[in-house]
Amino acid sequence: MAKSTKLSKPAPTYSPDHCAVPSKVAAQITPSRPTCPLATADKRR
Amino acid sequence: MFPDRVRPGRGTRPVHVHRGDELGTTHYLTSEYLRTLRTGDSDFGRTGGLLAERSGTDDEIVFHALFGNARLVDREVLELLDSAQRTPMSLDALRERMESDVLRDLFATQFLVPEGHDEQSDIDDLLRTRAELLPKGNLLSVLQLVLTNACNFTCDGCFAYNFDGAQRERVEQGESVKAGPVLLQIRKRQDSAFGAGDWNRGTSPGRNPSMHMSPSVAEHTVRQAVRTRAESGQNELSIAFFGGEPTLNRKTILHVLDTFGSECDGVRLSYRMTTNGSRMDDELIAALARHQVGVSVSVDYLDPETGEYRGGQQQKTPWPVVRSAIESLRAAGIPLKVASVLSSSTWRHWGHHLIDELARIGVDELDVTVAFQARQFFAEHQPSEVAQRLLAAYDYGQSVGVQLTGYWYHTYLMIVDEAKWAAQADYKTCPAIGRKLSIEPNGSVFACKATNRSLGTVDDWSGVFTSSAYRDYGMRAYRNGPACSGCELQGTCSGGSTGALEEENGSIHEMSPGYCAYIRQVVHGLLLRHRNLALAG
Repeated sequence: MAKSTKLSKPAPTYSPDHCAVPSKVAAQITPSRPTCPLATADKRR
Repeated sequence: MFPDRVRPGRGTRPVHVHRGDELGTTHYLTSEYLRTLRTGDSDFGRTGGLLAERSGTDDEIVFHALFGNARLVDREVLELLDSAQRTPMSLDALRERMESDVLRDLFATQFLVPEGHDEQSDIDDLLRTRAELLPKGNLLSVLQLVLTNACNFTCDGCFAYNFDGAQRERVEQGESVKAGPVLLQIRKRQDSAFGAGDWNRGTSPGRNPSMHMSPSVAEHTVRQAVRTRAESGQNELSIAFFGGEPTLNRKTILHVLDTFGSECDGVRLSYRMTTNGSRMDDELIAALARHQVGVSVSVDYLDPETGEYRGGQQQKTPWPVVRSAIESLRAAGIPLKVASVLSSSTWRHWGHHLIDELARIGVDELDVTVAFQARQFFAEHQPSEVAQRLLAAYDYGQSVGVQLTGYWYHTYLMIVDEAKWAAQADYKTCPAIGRKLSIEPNGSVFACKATNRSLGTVDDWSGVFTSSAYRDYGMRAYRNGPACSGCELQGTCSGGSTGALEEENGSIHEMSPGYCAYIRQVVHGLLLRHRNLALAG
C-alpha cells in the first residue's frame, strides 16, 4: 500500500523565534484550502 | 485561475471549490511548486529540489515550495507525482493508481492541483485583501519598544547601530551613536531625571535624538496599540523591550509591566526582552518573573581561555556576571534563551564552548543569527562552509541537550509543521513586513529597529498605518522579491532580516545570493536529518 506520511514535529521544544508574533490576526493570512475532489466526486454520484 | 467560490473551512482557512471538480471534467497535475530533497545536486547557489532532477531513494521528503506541507512518501507515490507532473490525469486515472486516503492527502497538500491552476493566484488574492487591511492597522501584532539607544557594551556588529541607515543624520542632529559617549551623558544626568523627560514631541520623525523612552511615551504607545488590536477584533499583543540595552531604562520597563500587567481592555499582553544580561538584579528579575517576560540574553561565543563572549569584547563586564544572571533568570522560572550571532566578528570563537556552557547551566536553546551583513560575510566565508559549520554545531547541540534555532531553523519548521506555517505564512521569519512596529525613544515609528524608513510618530498613530512606507513594508508579505522565484524556500524564508537587506542592498526586495545558498543548504541538511530519523524510527 502506498504511503504518504505527515512528518512528526521535531521533538525538542523551542520558544518562538525572537521575531515571532502572536499567531492570531484578524486578516486571512493563509490561502483557502482546496476541497478534495474525491469528496466532490462522491457527492456527484 | 481563481476559485469559483469560497466558503469557510476549518480554522481560519476557507475552502475553494473548482467548478471542474463539480462537473467531473478536471484533470490534475503535480504542482510546479513540489520540491523534494536534492539528490546529487549540491549546488545550493541555485534553486533546486525539482522532482525531475531526483534520483535514488525509495522514501523521500516532498514539500510545497509555497505552502510547506512536508510529507515522507514512498516510491509508488513519487512515481505517481512524477507521472502527473508530465501528463494531466483524470480523477478516475488517479484512483486507479492510488488509494483514496493518499490521494486526499495529495490534494490537501496541493501536491496535486487542477490543471491550469497556479497557486500563486492564491497569494495574489491574499495580497489584494492585505492592501485593504494594512491601512486599518489590522495586521499589527507586536510592538517593539526601543527603551533606549544607549548600551553599556560596544560590540562589533551590533544590531542596533548597524542597521538604522541613519547614522550620519543622527550625528548631524548632535547625537552620539556609540555607547561610550552616550553612557557618559547618561551618567551626568543620573542625579536628575534619569530616563525621564526625554519626550521630544514632534521634533523629528527620525531616530533617537533622545536617549531613553520615558514612561509616558511607552504608556501612550501601548494604549494606542491595544486599542488598535481591540478594534481589529483581536485579543493578543506582544510587547518587546529592546534597545540599546533596555535594562538601562528599567524605570520604563517596570512602569509598563506594572501599568498594563497581563491584560488591558480585553487584550492579552505578553512580553519579552533582549538584553546583554549584565545588569540584572533581584528586583528586576522578580518583576520579569511575575510577568513571565521571555528573556533573550545576547552572548556571541565563549572563549574559555580569555573569557571573551561578545563580538569585539570591548565591554568590561566579566563573563561570570552574565552567567550568574542567566542562572538567576532560569532559577526564577523566566522563559529564557541565549542569542548569538555567527558573523565575521565572531567567526573565530563561535561554537562548542558556548554550547557546552549552556548545557552546564541548563539553558536548552541557543538562537543563532547568521551574519546580518551577508554580502561581506559570505565573501569572506563560503556559504557551504557556513552551512556545514552551523549544521555541525546543531548536531553537537542535539548531543548535549541544547536546541540551536534561528531564522534558518524556523524556515525548516515552517516546512514540516503546518500549524507554524499557517501562523506566519505572511511574514515567514521577519515580521517587519506589517506585523510589527518599532518605537524609538522619541516616539518615532519604524517597521523594526533594523529598518531605516520612518513610518511617522506615535502622535499620529493612524497616520503610521496609512503611510506609504508602512504599505511598502507590509506588501512585501509572502514574496520577498524576483530572485526568489523558483526557490524551494520561497514560501518559508524571508531572505534574512528585512532591515539587513535594506541596508545592504538598498532594497527589501533584493536578496543576498550568499545568504540564499547558505540557508538552502542548512534547511536541506535539517530535512535530511528529519528524513533519516523518520526512517530509522
